Amino acid sequence: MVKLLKYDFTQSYRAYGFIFSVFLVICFFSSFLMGSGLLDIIVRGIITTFVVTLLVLVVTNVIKFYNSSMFSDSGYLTLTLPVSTHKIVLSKIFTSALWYVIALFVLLLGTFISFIPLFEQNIMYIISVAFETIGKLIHLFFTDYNVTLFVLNIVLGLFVFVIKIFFVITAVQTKYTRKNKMAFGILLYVLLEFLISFVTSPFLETSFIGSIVASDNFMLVSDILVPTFFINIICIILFYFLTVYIIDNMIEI
Amino acid sequence: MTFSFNDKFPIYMQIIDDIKAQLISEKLKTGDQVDSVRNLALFYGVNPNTIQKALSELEKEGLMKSESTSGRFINASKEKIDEIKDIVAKEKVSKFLNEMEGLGISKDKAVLMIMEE
Amino acid sequence: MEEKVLIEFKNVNKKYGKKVALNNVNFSVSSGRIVGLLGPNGAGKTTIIKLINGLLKDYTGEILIDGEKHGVKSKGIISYLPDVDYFQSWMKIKDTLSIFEDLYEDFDVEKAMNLMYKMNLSPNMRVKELSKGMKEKMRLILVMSRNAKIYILDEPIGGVDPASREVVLDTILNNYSPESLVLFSTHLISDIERVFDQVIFVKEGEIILHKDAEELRLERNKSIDEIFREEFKW
Repeated sequence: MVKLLKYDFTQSYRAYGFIFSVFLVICFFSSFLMGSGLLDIIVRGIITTFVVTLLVLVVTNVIKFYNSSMFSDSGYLTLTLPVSTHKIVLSKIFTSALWYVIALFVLLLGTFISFIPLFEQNIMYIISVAFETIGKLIHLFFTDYNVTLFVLNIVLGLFVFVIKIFFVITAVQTKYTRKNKMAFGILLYVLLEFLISFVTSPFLETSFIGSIVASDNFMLVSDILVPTFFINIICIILFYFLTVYIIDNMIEI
Repeated sequence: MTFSFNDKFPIYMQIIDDIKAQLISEKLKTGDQVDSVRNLALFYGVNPNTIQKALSELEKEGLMKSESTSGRFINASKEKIDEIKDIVAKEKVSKFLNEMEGLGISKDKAVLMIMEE
Repeated sequence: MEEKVLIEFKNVNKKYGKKVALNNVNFSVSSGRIVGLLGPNGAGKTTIIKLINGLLKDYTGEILIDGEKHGVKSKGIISYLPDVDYFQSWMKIKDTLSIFEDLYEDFDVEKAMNLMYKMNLSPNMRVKELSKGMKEKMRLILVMSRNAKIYILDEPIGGVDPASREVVLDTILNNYSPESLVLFSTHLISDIERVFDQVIFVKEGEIILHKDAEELRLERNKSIDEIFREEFKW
């Protein structure tokens, strides 16, 4: 499994490394333009654009790598490896999730770098404040269940996003969609989103209504968090096993 | 793969012929160890099973012997080699006469031409 | 050495939509043999190969690899050389060696490096620098350096120049073992027919012939290449 992770990582680090470095370089240079009135607003606009671009590029790469590694020429290697399909898919899920996390760090780092000139106070002070806040958040994570659930939901939500994409890409590799795979893939994803919202809304709405009745603010938050948590878990399990099943029983390369 | 084969005929037979030719020319002598199947396969550029078949045939004909641990050895007595030479010579004569016939030259005339050489 | 049936196809049918790719294919091939899967492009050779490797799951009939249905175990005993490039172009040859070493327990790194050296492929060369022939040799070396029971080679000499072809065939012959099976698909027969034990002719999704190569030569007094041309006359 470790070897598989290493393989998936080495196949993708170049593309991600390139995107991240370009982003950080842009942030670095834009920091010089900060602090001069009108230019400031333009620069901030540019950075926001790049942040969005970065996120879009990361998602694009996740899709690209899964598709090319599993179902394009590399698929001849990946799908004939002497390991179970579970390991193959899990490895891809974890490497993609890892790149997302790294992307978030790069984002934070980049925006921090670009704003450095605006900090009137000492950099060290800023950094120490940042660490203090992180420390407080970590403490909250372990003490306040709502914070725990909130953070877990974000993490799970990431995995749900990744596995949904993998499921959709996999689902169009069967005999039912030999042509126009991309079109069907997009269609399937959209349909899936609608379906999930439709099926899960009763679980989320009632709790929302329920919390309007209850006056306690914390009730509001946890009532959405708990069902969301379970929905995330169910989605992950469902799409994961469907993906593995399709690969084992229905693919046509 | 330097040896050229005629793919129309079973290759193992051609290998047998080649080995017999080596016996006639004394490139291979009684007591010599025969190369391994693997090496012969590589040398002739053919499937090892083909080599195996050829060697088995040669064993059956009594030209080779296999010692279980040390491999195969040539076991061709002078009589056997003379026999082979005889057969090869007869084949060549037959071929020659056929070719002469093709040129319209009768057997008698062919013999005369041989005497004149 | 007992021969063991390593690949068995029983009543296999495969369709791509309405088009019939394989029609009632039945055959079995055993260990210790080099078998040629011969036929024109589109005849069904690659379909058969993909089915053996589990890349196509929609078929009827039974396919057994070493007596079992396709799974992790069968993937472990098959070393497959497909007709595609599956390495990224920036990779160096030594990267491809380390990938194979990581992912395949039965990979013999020393053997691979020796073969690479013999074929003038240096570990620091990048895939994108290699000619088509060099790439094919590299991929063949990787596949043949595994200690597998079944080697499946899909058109291993297709884009290779005649001189390199000999090297490829020598590598295959050198790798021969009575316990393993080499299944080799090609449409270029004449230079290489002496390497086959058995030949399987595939025509329009059907197996029209499956025989011992020498027997065929004896029977018909023709080379396999000539017999092939006869059977596949337009």
